[in-house]
Amino acid sequence: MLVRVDPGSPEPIYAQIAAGVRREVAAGRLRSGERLPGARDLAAALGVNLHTVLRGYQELRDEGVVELRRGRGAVVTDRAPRIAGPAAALRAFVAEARRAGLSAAEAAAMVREEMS
Amino acid sequence: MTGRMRVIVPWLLVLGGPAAVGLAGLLLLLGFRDQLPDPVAVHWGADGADGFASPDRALLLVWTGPVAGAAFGALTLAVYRADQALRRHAASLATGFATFVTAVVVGSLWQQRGLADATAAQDPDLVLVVALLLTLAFGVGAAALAPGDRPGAAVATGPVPAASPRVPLGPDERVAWSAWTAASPAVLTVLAVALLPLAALAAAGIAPLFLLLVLLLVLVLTTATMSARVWVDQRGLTVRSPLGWPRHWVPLAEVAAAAAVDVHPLRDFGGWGYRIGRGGRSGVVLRRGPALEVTRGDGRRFVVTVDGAAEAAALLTALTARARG
Repeated sequence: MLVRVDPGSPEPIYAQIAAGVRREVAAGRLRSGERLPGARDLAAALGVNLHTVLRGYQELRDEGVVELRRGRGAVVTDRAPRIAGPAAALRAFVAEARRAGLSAAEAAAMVREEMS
Repeated sequence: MTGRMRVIVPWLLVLGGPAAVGLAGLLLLLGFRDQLPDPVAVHWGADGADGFASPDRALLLVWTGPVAGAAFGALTLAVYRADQALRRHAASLATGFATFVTAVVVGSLWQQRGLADATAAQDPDLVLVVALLLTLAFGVGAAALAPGDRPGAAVATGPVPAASPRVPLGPDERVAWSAWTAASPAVLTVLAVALLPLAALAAAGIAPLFLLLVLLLVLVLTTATMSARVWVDQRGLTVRSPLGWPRHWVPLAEVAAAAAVDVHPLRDFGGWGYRIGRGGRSGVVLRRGPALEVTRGDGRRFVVTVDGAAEAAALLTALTARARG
């Protein structure tokens, strides 16, 4: 698993970490059932705050890309390979929708329209 | 500690450790030799003591452990290029082996004090347990006394090889690569099969305490050494066992070169696990195939078998190049 963080980027570090994991999953380099490294270890490796990494892992958990299990840490879910790519695009779409001032209902309607 | 001490002290440990143990055993034995029956029991079977020898023969037995231990240790020091891991290994091997054999001999004879007839000699299960614990203690102690490497001895100066592949890296970018590596199922199966008789005895409740301890020890060592988490990042290369120890760390400052290589555990390292191999390489070699090989500033090489070794090597090269040019 390769994770890049650019402190100079406008994107928050936790989001860059989550994006990195999504990329690895979408590319097949992280497979379902594989464990992500411990948050403390990744924080030490990248030289960032532990809570930054935890926030990134929580974002991945909220999307369903990983599960957080007691004792095992973050584990890639079975459906992660399918949703990792769309989840990344979703972040970009939602950012755009917010910038344009769309409501959640309007944005969801756009998605439904496009998918039918 | 001077360079010369770094050469002398390991030899003192490898020869002196077993000698000290042998001497201690001999003195103890001489202390109660008069209370021993003649002959004494030196071998036990299912029905109790079944092998006997004269007490003076038994006195000679005390030396077999120290002599063999010193020989193993000396061979190790003589054949392999010394670094702190090897010095510790040789010291603990020599002292540990000497301790175990001497403790078993002395202990099993100690149990025969005051006996009129050696056929009544108690079997040495408890003696084996005590011997094992003493071996662990003295082995670890000897390793702790072995000299460490000179700090900074392995620091690399000069740039990485220009032709080494590297990933693109921004000046402020933080990048980390991590993967899990584990022994191939085949190796683990062989280990499990080898332990089966022991495990069966334990499950049936008829294993002597000594064998139970051995089983526990093997399980702990296997868990510690048959899988590892590998990191390539700003700190360098880290290979860490799931139990936290053993841990190998090559700091970024010591990386002279990094490359992906192909490794055959049996052919290149004589087996699987934490190995010292031919040509001055050491490593964590858990399966056949791609491995990350790091060359240190002093020429020593460390190898870890892991999937994605090429990407890891390219990142390590890039991090080193950025740090050092």
